[in-house]
Amino acid sequence: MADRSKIQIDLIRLVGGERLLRLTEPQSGLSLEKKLDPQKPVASQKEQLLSVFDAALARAELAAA
Amino acid sequence: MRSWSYKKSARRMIAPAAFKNVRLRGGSVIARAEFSRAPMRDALQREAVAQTRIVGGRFHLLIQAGLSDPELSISLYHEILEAATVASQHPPDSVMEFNEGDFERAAQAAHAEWGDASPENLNRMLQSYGFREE
Repeated sequence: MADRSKIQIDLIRLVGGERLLRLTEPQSGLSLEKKLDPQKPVASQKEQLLSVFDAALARAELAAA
Repeated sequence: MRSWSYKKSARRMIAPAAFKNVRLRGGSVIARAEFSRAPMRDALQREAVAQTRIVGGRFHLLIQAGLSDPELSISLYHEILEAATVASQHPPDSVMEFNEGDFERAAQAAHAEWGDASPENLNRMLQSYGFREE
């Protein structure tokens, strides 16, 4: 069972100024990344990515069960 | 948006060790801050200038060395304000609608108002945006 409290969040700024948001669950190795839209609120983009990540994590756990 | 340059700084006013284990408003802690002289590349070999890793409320900051002091200071303000927002389940209303440009402008304003980033000044900035002592 993946431990959601251990989800790692990476905020990465590339040389060109783009911002990446990456979520990783270390136990399963599942990782999801999004290039942030500079025009949209960061908080809502993180929540959207987290929802997708949670769903992917749940599917991965079901597949492994 | 600020354009990134790599001017060599003759002296370093901001020491990464000063930020280690600093408790921030909003409940997070800077576990580590490092200015990397080695090229920073992610898993896909994309060149990066800054990375903040958030694990359980602990921030691990890695910023490309070689920035001028003002650039480094603004980068620290920017990384911390954005990371505090992302790490929080319920960020203050004042930052809920912030996009990348807003974070950059906030970081520049903080540097202009309080000077070089320091543990105290980072918390002043967070306080000004409504992050509470926890």
